[in-house]
Formats: sequence, structure tokens, C-alpha cells
Amino acid sequence: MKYVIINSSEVSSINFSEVLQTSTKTLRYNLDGTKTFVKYEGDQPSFLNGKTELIHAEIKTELAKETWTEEL
Amino acid sequence: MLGLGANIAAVTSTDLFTLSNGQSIDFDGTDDFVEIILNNDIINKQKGTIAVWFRLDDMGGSSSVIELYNEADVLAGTSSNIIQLFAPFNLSTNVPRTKGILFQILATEDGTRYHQQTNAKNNPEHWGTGASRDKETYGFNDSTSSNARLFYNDDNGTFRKENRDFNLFSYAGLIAADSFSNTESQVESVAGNQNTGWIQVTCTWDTTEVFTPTQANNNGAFVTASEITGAMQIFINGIKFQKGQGLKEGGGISNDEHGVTLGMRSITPSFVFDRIRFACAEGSNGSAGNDMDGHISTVAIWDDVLSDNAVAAAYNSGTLIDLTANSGNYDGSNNLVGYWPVEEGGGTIIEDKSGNSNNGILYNNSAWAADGFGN
Repeated sequence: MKYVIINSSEVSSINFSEVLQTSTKTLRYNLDGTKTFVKYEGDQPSFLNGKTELIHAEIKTELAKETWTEEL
Repeated sequence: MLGLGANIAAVTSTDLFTLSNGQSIDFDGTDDFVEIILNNDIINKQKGTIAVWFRLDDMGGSSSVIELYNEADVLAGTSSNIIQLFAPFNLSTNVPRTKGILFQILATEDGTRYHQQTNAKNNPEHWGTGASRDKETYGFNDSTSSNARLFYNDDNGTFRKENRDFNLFSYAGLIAADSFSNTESQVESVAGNQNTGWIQVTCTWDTTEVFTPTQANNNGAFVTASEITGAMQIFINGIKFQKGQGLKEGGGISNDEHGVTLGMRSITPSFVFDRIRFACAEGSNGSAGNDMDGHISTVAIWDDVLSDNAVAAAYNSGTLIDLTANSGNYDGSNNLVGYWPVEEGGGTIIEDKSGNSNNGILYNNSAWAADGFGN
């Protein structure tokens, strides 16, 4: 599986038939709401336009940062 | 937030069990989850029990295993009125370690050396080996604290905790290691964030119970504390590990010896739980993080506190029984208000077998795995 972080302003361009997220309502955003991400298998969907792909370990490292995860 | 309580027994690696015939849901720890919209007010606010069978694929952060909440409450920006089960406890790199609290200790030997680690991969500076095999002198000092809190099993297998150097040890977060029987490779598998093996955790809450807890002092002895109102309990594989304070305001207990936290906040008499989520915190579409990287197989909720014997019988040494029917010491079927055996093996719906028809929906590619409990 591959993951791509996008700006929240790009959410309207997501083709949900090409990604594994269910809908805009279930996207996970960073804490200030400026970024989200999509995940997919196989080739990169065209709407992502060559954006940087992350593997599972890389996206988990990113999501563990303070900008994405609230301290308990 | 930490609770009070005496530990009753210690889990050993022999208590971990293998699930081979059924199904589970595999969460990738990024944004997938299961949501259950409750069509009726099934959860007793004052008393209840949750049981969940799960394993973690990554112990590197705090994972929300399951939570009960009210959607409107969350959307309004308040996080009260939530019951949460987290595992493991406070392992995030961005959580400062508290002086006097040393969580997740792993110590084993391979026949010639001792191996110790705290906080899995996040504190590798504490990973090391010791040439001495003298159990009485090979202690462990947390370099950030002069008074580290330590958890271990003594020579008789009795669980101990002390606020000073220790002389015998066996503890590994959700991995419950046998004293002096694990190999170096097993230790390193934890350091490498490998999975925990399956574990069953049962949590109870009763905001009305008045009881007098016991509390470990600095010498590891248990002493009587002040009477309190409100009780939570944590059972691991049918064994009670912690009974502690469950306050109506900001209550919660932490079984930090085994990396499990149960929290309850501000439960009010008129409150209605209308959502349950697996593997994702606070009902906020994952924006708060704490997504669980691991598997869940079977979740059950009762509207009363199960007895110790009933909890043990429901665990049944790792073999699932039909929780809709009383059997042996299990007498909770009449109080079973939510039951998701997670046995579908495909699709995006898990069926509630309690009779209340509160089915769950899988979101964001929650995957099926053929390694869960069979029925």
C-alpha cells in the first residue's frame, strides 16, 4: 500500500474510486486541518499528479509527529 | 489519572494464545476504523463491562483499541463522556517521561547475559546487556530519574513494583514474558516493534461502588489507601490486574504494568452513548491520532459489571464461548447488549449478535485477516 499527503485544499480533487479511503468524511487530517492523506494500491491515481509516495512505515512516522497526533 | 490498586497476578507468556480458525479485522494504524452507531441506549452509564480480543502489530505509540462516546459531544469539541481503552500506555516519543514512572520494562536472559529495555524502540539508550547474572545486584537505573518505578515478578512469581532499583524482573508491556526463560531474539522482536500476540482485555466500570483500594508503597508492599467512590477494573486474559479509581470527573485507571489504560470522563446521568469505535480515538475521524496498528477479533459489551469468575469464564483459557448463552461461571448473557464476533471474513459490515442489531461498518480499507477467533 502507498500513501500520499495532500493539502486540504486538494480534497475536492480526490477520486474516491481510486483510493482506499471511504469518503471525505473519513479522511484523517493533521491537527491544524491543513493536510490529509490518501492511500491506494498499485499505480498512483492520476489526480495525485506525481506527488511523493510513502510506504506504510513512512506514513506512520509522519503521523506520529506532533502535527498529526495529540498527546494523551 | 493513574489509579490505585493492587495487582492480583501476573500474566506469563504461556497465557498468550493463538487464534487460528476465525477472522479478525486488520487495522493499518493510519486512518482505518470500525464505527457502530447505536440505535438504542444500550450502555448503562453507571455500570458496564467491555471485553475485546486484540493484538498490536506496532507497540510504538498509544493505540485506541475501543471507545464509547457521543458523536454530538465530540463534534461540539468536548471530549467528556467517553470510555476509552488504550494500549499500550504512554509510549509516544512526544510524551515526556515522568520522574518516578518507568513504564514498559523488558528484561530477560539468554543464558549468559541479561537484556533490558524500556519503552520499546523509543528509548534505545536504555537497551543494553549485562555481563553479571547475579540477580541480586544487577539492577536497573533510569538515568532520568533517581527514583525509578519498577515492575517485576519475584522468585515466587508474585508481581511486585518498587520505586527503587530492583533485583529481579520480567515485564514487557503487552508482551508478558516468563522470568528468565525468553531468548534474546524474543527481546529484540519487541525492540523491533513486532506484534504482541493475541490478548484479551476486559474492563469494567461502576461509578457508584464505594471501596477501599490498596496501593503499593516504595518498598513494594501493599497498604490500605483512602476510601473512594467509583471503581474500574482491568482483566488481562481473565485475570484481574487492577482495580482502581473511576471518578465521575476525569476518572481512569492505568494498568501501566501491562500497557493498558481504561479511562472514563464525566459520565452524567442523562448521557447517551451513541457511538462505538474500534482502533481510532475520539470519534474525530482519526484527527486526534492514536490509531491502532493491529487486529481486533471479537468485542462484547455488557450493561453491568461481570463478576471475576464470569470474566474468567468468558475468556475460557483463550477459547471463545458463545457469549449469548450462560455457561459454567459465565452468567452474563442477559446483560449482553453488544456482541461482535467479527466472523464475516469479508465485506464492510460486522453483525451485532446480541440481538440489538447495532451492526458496525468498516471504513478506510479496514482489512480482513483469517487469524481471529473462530466460532
